[in-house]
Amino acid sequence: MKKEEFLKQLEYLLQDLPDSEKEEAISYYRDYLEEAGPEQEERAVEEFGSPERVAAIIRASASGNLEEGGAFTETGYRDERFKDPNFEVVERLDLPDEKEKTSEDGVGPDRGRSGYTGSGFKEFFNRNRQNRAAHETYQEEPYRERYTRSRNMRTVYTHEDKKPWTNRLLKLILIGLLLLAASPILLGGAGVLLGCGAGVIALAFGAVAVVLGLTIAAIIAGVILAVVGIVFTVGTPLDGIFLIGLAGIGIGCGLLGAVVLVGLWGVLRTLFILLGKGIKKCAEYARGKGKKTE
Amino acid sequence: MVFNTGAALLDAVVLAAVSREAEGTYGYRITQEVRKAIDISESTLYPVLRRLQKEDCLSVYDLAIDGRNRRYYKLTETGRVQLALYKGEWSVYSKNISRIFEEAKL
Repeated sequence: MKKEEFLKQLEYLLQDLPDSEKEEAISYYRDYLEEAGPEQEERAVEEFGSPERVAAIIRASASGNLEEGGAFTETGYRDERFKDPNFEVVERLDLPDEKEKTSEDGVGPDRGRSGYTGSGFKEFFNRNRQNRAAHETYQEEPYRERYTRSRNMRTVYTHEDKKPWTNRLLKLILIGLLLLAASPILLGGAGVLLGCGAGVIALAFGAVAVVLGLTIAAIIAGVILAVVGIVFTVGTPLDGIFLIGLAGIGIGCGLLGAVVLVGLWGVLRTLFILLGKGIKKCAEYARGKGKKTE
Repeated sequence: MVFNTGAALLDAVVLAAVSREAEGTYGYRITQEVRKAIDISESTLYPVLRRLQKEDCLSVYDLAIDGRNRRYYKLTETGRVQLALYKGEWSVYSKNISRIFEEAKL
């Protein structure tokens, strides 16, 4: 590109800047190219990159971005607040201009988000796309390119990291709404569950009571029979021995009952513990949910 | 080059380059001087010079040369103080960095 053509395009791209800013910038670059001399002129224009890039640099300084966080690195201008690829084009100032690609390729998806409508930002998208395509040849690349590439990738990743956050929030909201909508059914279900639980507990208690009663009765009967049997052995030994045998059965039943009782007690205890835990969990959950739905 | 040059260091290098000429120097020369030290693009220095000018570290004046204006940049008193500060800071910083590399075991 020739000097005059470059300056004309630059002027066109900066036409919305205040006149003083624009004049100063253009005269700087004009001076520069004139200093470079006719033989160096074309090389210098090449080195500048596209007029769009230079325009982006000038804008960055005109809008005061430089003072607030931008930094010139050896790979060009870099501003942490402009992670947006639209802006990072300025970061690659010293790379050769990719003119053919710029004029042929399509428009970037969100060009102009940062307020720059210059077509130079397309290049960055193209380059980004190329970067990804060329990922297989990663190992052979010179270090500098790899370095910039990895920086681009990191930007991509941080964008992806953000996704789960919105999803989780959305999910929570949806679950809340669902619970709200289903609350009548849920409450009914809870009632049934409560009833069943109470029934089971009552049944367990009943069983314990019956077994306890039987056990006590069996042991008492056994003891009485044993006493009576011993008394009978004096008069009618056969009857006595029969009664003592019955007493043995009675006491045996009693002991069995005691074993069953201990077992039942264990079951009942675990049941109670589980129930208690369940209630606690439900209470916590309900409290948590209540907060969220509010 | 794998190490980035931050804004402050670039400022310092530019101020140092300008300070060499008592009567001031112009954009093209400054760029060539700076490029001897760090590999920056030729288009990069405009915003730096402009900012230094706004911060009153550089003053500008125009001189007619070959029928056109050439803009000269000159160090101001503020710029001189700033450059001295940068020089001192850099001396400490570079010494520390160099030492840790010299002590490094390969």
